[in-house]
Amino acid sequence: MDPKEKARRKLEKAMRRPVNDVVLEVQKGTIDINDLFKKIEERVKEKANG
Amino acid sequence: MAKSCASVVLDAALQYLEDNVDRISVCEGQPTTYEHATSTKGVATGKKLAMSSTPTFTGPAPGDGGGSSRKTAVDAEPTITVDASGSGDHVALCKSGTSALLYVTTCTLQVLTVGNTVTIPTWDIEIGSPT
Repeated sequence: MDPKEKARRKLEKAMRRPVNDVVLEVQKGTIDINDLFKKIEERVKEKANG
Repeated sequence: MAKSCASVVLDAALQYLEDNVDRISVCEGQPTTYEHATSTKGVATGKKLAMSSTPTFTGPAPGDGGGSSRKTAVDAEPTITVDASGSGDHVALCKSGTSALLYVTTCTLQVLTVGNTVTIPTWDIEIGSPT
């Protein structure tokens, strides 16, 4: 990301004001690369089979 | 037989997110399309309760899983105005230019009220090393 755009976004975030703010608890998103490889293989087979 | 994946390969995927994501939204239910993630609940098939156009990332960096795992942190997104009341349980990352839904994760269900604000704390996206 362009550093100027990143700085602009951070500034915009800092200027917001909370209203009865609720804080979420986000689950970490872990990607299993083996699943990724399997998906790629499946897509290749699909393409090969038309 | 050992498997490996060079960091540059995984970093490319994580860097793609940083370079392209320009929308982060809180949804009620799992969004499976761009429209789900970016249209307000109650409008067509929209599931979005709140959305910000200022997502930023920090990374990529070594992952917590060891080996060649890599991660990037999605920076905190503070005080986003809630557009529709509902139960937020998913967070989505999108690219508006191509109307692409790029990444979806879950969050602990929280009831959100229109007009209030919601904060998404910093969270990680990690790609594990091959096993």
